[in-house]
Amino acid sequence: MTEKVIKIAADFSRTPAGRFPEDGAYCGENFREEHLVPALKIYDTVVVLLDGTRGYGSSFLDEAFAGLIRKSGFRKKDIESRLKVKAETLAFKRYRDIVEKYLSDADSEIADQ
Amino acid sequence: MRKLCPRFKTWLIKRANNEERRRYSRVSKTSGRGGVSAEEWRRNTEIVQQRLTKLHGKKIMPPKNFCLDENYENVVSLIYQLKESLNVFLELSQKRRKQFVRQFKFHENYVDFTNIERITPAAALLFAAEFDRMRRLSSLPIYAVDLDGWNPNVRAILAQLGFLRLLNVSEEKIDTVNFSHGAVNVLKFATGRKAQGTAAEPIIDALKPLFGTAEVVETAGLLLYEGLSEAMTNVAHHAYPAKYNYEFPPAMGRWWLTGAHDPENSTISVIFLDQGITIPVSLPRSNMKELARDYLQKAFNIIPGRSDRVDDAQQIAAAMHLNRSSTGALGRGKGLPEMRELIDFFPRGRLRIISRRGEYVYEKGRDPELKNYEGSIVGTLIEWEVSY
Repeated sequence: MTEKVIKIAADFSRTPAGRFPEDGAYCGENFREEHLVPALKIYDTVVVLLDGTRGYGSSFLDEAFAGLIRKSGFRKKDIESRLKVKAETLAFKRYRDIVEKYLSDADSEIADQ
Repeated sequence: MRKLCPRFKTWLIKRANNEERRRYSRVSKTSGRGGVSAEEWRRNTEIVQQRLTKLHGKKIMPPKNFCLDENYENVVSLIYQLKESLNVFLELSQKRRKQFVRQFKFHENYVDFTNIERITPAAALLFAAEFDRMRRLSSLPIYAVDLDGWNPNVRAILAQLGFLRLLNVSEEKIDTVNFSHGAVNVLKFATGRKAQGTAAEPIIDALKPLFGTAEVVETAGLLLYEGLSEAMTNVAHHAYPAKYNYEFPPAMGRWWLTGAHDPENSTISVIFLDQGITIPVSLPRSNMKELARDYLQKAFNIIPGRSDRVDDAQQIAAAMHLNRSSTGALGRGKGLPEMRELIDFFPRGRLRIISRRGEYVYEKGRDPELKNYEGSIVGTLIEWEVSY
């Protein structure tokens, strides 16, 4: 089983913000397309560590993670066992729960269409 | 250089006038080129002269209490005056603008800051943003007049904010300003376009230590970053559509940001501002109309589009409660409601959003308060204020 660990703060940016490239270089879409999607295509398991950034706006998290389902063609059941979103510090754990909610919401929206 | 004799001078003036008349006469005879008749030319010249007169001989007096809480209408009235003056200038041709700048009498035409006795950080940022916009859009020279006559508290706040640099005050002169005079400490404003997370870092880092224990500091810093990055993202997506008839041409895509600490009242505030089309304009134009309508009907018993008029404060309230943004795309627009999270984290705090003429104020544990004003802030101002 191959595993890839992505630390957002070190591998992408300490100040992620925005949804689309026109919002800024460190947006959710860029993170998804440059890090998450390629990793999910190559590795059996992808671990994303949320700690260490200045924080996450909802736009970034939604586009980065829920975008896997809305735009990149994944379904929640496909990535449930393969994508592990983790936070080691208490302050960042709430973001892990938020990502989980966004993934579920996106999956429901796609299922309703 | 030899002085012109009166006869030769008269001859030169007559020749110049005749040249101009002949030039416009040639243009008016040219078909399909949008030529201007001599009569139209004379009328246009009169209009230009009237506009130039409007700009000259004006000393603008700001209100003594420059505070949005206590003196909103007078503060925005001043900002409006500045915007109208810049509009007049921008309508001039390049040639006329240069003529105006050459003839500009700085000792007669300026904003008289000596009149201000009190200024709050939010109102100061509104002021600074307007001067920054003027600087970016025009070659209009802006200077500080009678700096030593300004109220020391006001001067200190504006100096800390970085406002004096907009007025071309030298670094040497700024260094002589007594920064400790003011009771409120204000941070130098940041400005940018797009969602620039790095721009918020100095503000957050300066204020974080004041929040309390290490645990509180960490979470508060994260929540503040969330709110600010969402505010920046909202500006990038909604505030400055390219195809819009702006009453006052904006510095497209731009936002301004500052923070302040009031040790006497134990409060910390962060203020974010844009000069875009505002929430009351962007929300009803969007695919979110049906969701907004549902909310307005439930909350205020209003059905927009019938005889009921939705006011600006109600539009802001609707935006705060919708789960999607004005663009209507699935999953977007979770940003505005989460701006309350920082306020909910502290024992006491206030989130204030002023957009166009509406004001929405949220305090923890209370129903939001809505208010509408006569004057428009011509943009959106978001202020987080927490007590520690």
